[in-house]
Amino acid sequence: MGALNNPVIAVIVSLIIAVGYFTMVDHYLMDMQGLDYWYLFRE
Amino acid sequence: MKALMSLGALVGILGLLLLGGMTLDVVPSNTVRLVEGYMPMQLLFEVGCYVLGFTGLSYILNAMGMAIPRFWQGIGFWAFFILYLKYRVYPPIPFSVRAMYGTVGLVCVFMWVSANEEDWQKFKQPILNVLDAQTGMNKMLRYAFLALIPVLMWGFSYNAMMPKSEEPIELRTVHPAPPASTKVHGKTYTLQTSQNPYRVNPEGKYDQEYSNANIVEQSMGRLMKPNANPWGENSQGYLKYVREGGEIFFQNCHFCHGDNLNGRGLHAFAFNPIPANFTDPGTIAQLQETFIFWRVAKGGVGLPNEGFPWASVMPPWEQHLTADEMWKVILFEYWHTGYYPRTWD
Amino acid sequence: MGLVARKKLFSIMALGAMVGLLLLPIVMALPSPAIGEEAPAVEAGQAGGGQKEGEGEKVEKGRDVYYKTEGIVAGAPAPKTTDGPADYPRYNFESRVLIWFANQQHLYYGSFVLAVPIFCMIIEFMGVVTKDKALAKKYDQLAYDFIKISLTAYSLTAVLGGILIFTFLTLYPAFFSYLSSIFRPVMHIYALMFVAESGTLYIYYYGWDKMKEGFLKWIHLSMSVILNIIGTLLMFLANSWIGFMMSPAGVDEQGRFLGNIWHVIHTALWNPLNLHRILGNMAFGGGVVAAYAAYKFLASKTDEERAHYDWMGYIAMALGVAFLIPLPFAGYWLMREVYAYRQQMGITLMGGLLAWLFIIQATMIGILFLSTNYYLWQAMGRMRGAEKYQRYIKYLVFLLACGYMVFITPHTMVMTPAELKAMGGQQHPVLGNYGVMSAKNGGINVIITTTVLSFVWYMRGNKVSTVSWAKFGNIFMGVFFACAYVNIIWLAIYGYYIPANVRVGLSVPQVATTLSCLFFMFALNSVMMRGAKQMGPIEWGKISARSQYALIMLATAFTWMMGLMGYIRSSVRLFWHVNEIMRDNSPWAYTHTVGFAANMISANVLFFWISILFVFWLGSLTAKKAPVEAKVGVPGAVPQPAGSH
Repeated sequence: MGALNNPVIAVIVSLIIAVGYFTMVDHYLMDMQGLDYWYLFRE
Repeated sequence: MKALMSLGALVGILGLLLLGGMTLDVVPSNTVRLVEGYMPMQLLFEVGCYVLGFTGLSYILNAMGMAIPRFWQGIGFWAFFILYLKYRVYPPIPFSVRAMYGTVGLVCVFMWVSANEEDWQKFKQPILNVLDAQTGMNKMLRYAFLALIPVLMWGFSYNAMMPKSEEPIELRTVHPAPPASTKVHGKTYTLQTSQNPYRVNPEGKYDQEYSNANIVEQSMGRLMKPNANPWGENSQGYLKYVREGGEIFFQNCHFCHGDNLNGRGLHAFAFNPIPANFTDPGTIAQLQETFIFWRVAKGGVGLPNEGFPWASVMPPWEQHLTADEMWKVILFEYWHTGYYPRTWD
Repeated sequence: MGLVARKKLFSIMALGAMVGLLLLPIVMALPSPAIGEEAPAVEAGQAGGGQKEGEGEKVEKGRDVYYKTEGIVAGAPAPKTTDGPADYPRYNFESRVLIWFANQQHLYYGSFVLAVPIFCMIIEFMGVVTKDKALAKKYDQLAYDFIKISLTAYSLTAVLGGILIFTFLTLYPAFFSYLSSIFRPVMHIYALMFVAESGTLYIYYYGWDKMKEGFLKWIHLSMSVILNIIGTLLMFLANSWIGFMMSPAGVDEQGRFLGNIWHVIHTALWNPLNLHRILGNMAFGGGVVAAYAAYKFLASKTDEERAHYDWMGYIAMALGVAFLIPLPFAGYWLMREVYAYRQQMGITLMGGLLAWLFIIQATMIGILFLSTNYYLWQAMGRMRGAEKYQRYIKYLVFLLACGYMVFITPHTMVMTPAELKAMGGQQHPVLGNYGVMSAKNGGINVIITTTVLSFVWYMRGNKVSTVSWAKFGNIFMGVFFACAYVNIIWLAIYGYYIPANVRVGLSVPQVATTLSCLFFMFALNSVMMRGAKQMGPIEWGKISARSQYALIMLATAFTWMMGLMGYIRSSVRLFWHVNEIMRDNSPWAYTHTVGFAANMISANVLFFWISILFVFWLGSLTAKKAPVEAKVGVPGAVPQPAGSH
């Protein structure tokens, strides 16, 4: 817990969680509709 | 912190200078270019930069002991916003939209200055001072308002009552609802289910995925895909139809719709409104292919009642082209603009 | 002892009777298909003259226009009306405007009296489960206040319903007799359920004091559940009529009933309408009650009263907004179903004839969220320690403003021909991009996320977290919100670069992002604030008058928007009474101009507010007579209510 209270580490950890979470939201929710979230990048 | 704020202040001053120049017509408003394809975000980003710049400016002025009173901050920001919309954005925004934005801006400035009691007191104080008129200056101001407000009212009513020679505003429905089906050259097409017979893959099956992979690149200047040149030696299938559609387009359509499909053809400005701009994301990009087919076939005279006042001079192309030719032209339009027709699944 | 037992027995019997009343219509409905099958023999005989195949003993079959099933024709075809006194008797006035007015007022009151008991149920339940005695009593009193307001409104609803039916019968007899011939059993069930609703409501209201303790209280609470079930079913039944008018099913192409009443009720748009209306009613009810509280707050003379009504306004607002947030999503579902049912109808709504009204709607939605945010910022003024958030409010204003402006940018702009030429086309190269769905979804989600952020700030306004990971928690929240904004805006931009059929799917992750903020951040915040250090109490009643005007604004915007959306939903049928089945041949089968419609809606809103002020005034008359025993008003002692719910 101590390390997490260091602002820099906290920001990095939070960023990893948040970005990961939202990417998953984007990917899986598009997938559930039978659509491809990465459409543009796969071309 | 202070360095950051100074930077902000610098941005703010620069921005203000730029906007001032644009307002007074010293600097043309396209000095800072709006990049096609990125404009919407660019605009928001710019306004965001201005806001941060102003924050920095007010911070620095505060530190230097020359804080701008809340009252003038509010008024000033609103004035900035109005000027920005009028002089920065090009082509000019219609008044109705500027009025909407201006009102929203005013409401938001009010929300900002009255968000807490202390700020609201500070904001109100100058107004109350003038109403109380305790000092000579304020007394003068009060008299000035006494004279000015009726004059302004008179001006507004004069302006409103004066007959204008402008054409009246038309609330035109640009994309009226299509019929359920349309009959072209004796064949009935159900708009919801019909498909472009030429949007096919090498096996000859309808395939939107395949054709989408071969259209020009939308961003950064419309480039053809390396292996997808309809005018290439051995272009077959879909690409061949695109080429044929292109030939029909340049024989019939481009006089009005333009050689870049942007509605700026040779004859375009003889019409009011000017012909549809296919490169705009609001036209063919959000319509079904069958909708375009219906509009092309039936033209301006075939618009339904809700298309009032039928302000379209497009001829009913079914009198000049075969159904196949129309489908090919549509294929070409989507290919050239790099858009995909809308589908419902 | 014996007395208590008897009371218990009696109350259980009452509850049983109510459940019985609830089941009665279903029992009544069982033989109704049989009746429906008997009827054709008679009706076919009557209509036989006009039909070639109808003669003889042959059973005629028809094909369902929506379900595509075969069925035995069991009703007369939809009448072909002609303009004249037979089908459209009239005063020297536009009949459509009269029916519009009657409908709208009935709907306003109807949704109010359906929503308020739901609030009552929630608040009463909160009162029962709260351990704090003083707070429990306060909740109970609040619930009682709510139901008291709705009681007068209830009788007014019934009166307005009567007026509506008479207006239909006298001005649109042909249409109404067709509709009632199809919905005959449903209409009877509806009437019976109305009786059940009345009975339950009166027992619920008058039994309040008798059943306020222990076991009886639970019986009382379950009564409110039954009351709400009946109310909701009532609304579902009424929705089936408008659902049928928009997207008919269960009849053949000529409009002949095919014997399956469930098909007629369960049309394509029935369920989306049901959901949308429930949520809408709740938001509307919250708004009206909040306006009532604001009005009482502004009129109150003592600090105690002010504290009570401030609190009431806050709760009502919070409940209303809680149902407002999912409302746009229910709206998307409805719209999607409309498109799936008839693309034409969808285009008329969103891109064609009625598109201008949707711009007004967007404006109203924005006003709702802006007022909510403003109220929350003002409300931070009543707690010490919230000052630390004040200086960041301007950035929230900026975010809201950007989201709002994108959200209300019209796709097709109103402009003079001169402006059109200057712009060089119907579409503005910059703003035209804000006019499409992708950008608008981004705009509204930014607004909602900002509202969530305001709520979070409000809930932690006077508190400082004491958990060991407080610092990490704060940073995490900040980063999570920032990423949510980035994700929403990114998805909005991304939508421009991919085809339409993929683009429509993007709204789902966008919405999920907003909802993630709502649920995770509220949850995280309440965990962090458990046992938090209080900087100072919430001083109920110490709130600016501006906030109360914001509440009134909120309620007015709700009312106006409801009128507008109702008008849109109804006028999308264009010149049909029943879409594609029964044509409107009256002289008023055209679509009104936007200006006329807006004036009409404003007139309806004005009438509603004047009449409901009368209702409030009636409520205050009884309050003066009743002994003021239950008024608990120690605002300082109350820990923050509802905030964590």
